[in-house]
Amino acid sequence: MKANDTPRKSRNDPPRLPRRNSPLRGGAPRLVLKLLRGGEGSGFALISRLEQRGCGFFRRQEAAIYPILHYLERKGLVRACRREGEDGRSRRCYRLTAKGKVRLEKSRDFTASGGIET
Amino acid sequence: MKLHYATNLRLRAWIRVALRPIRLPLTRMTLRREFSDHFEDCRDAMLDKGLSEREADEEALELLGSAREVGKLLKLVYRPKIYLIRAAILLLALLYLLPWPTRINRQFYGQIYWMDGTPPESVSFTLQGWKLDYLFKRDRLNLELIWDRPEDGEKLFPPPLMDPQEMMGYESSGLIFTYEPLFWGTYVGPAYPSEELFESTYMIPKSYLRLSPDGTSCMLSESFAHNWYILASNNPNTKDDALRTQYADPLQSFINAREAWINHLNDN
Repeated sequence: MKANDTPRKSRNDPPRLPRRNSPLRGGAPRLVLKLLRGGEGSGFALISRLEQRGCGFFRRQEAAIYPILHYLERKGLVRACRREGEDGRSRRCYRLTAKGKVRLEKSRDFTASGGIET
Repeated sequence: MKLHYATNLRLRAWIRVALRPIRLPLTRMTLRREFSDHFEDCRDAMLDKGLSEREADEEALELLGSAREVGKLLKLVYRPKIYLIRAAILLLALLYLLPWPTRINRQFYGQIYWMDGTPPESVSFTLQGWKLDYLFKRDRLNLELIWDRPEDGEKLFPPPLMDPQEMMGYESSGLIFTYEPLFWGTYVGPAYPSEELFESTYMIPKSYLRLSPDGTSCMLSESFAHNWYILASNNPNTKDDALRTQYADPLQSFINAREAWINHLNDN
């Protein structure tokens, strides 16, 4: 049985590992969730925040953030809405949902306790 | 913001490649707008840095990254949904078909198959197997798993597959799957007056006969003819050319059987 198929016995168990070919595999989705914890923003705004912190995760591959954002949206971890910016142009902005916050907290606790990357 | 013609073309090409795996129109529209917005923001940021318009366009396109890689990620996100839709369509099609069969006929073969009682090489064969018939109004779906069982297998060459328990052989096994619309039926002649009498003679099973649309004639189902042909031509023990020819012509065999049946009625 794969690790992904193992049922969770209780809520205190660590979240199941995503599928192997899933874009949620790895640290990028959690990174995006962390960025959204600082407030809602468009894809470009999130990447700007990341660069301000000196992290070049999406450097030269900035558009790769959108599949991850859409994936998180389909999972119900983030929600998208149209917001008008200071320049008058509307952008699709993302913000964290309650489910996303819980997920982020759980993954942080799990990582802090020496667990595996979620 | 008005883009340079060449930049616009390149951006459109980039978006087209990235969105190639996506089939959902609304999602395509959303993503196209997001990529365009991202490009514009990038370009504005580059212009603020002091780059020329041309350089800003180049840099913004460069920063977007590989369209193919983005497309692969999008495919992972949206592709499973398409499989689900396909599965749902298939399920609906099956649900549509299920109420249609008017009869499901399971038949076990246990009788002597050869019609004239003269099996080849003086070895009698018993046709055994399972048969599943779905009648869809007038069309028929036929699935059969059959095998021949010679009663004196030692006379045959090559020797048949032997059953160690009963020391009996199995020959000419096969799986037959046929779909038979009505218009494949072969016209034979007037309808039989009594189905009970017909079945009692066991010349041709009733399930192989079907009434013509006007109800006055009888048709020999094509699947029966095919089965007959397959059995006759694939049986390695049918060495007699006359027998082979006879069994390879299902319509002639059926006419012979019908004559035999009429003679049987006349005799009684």
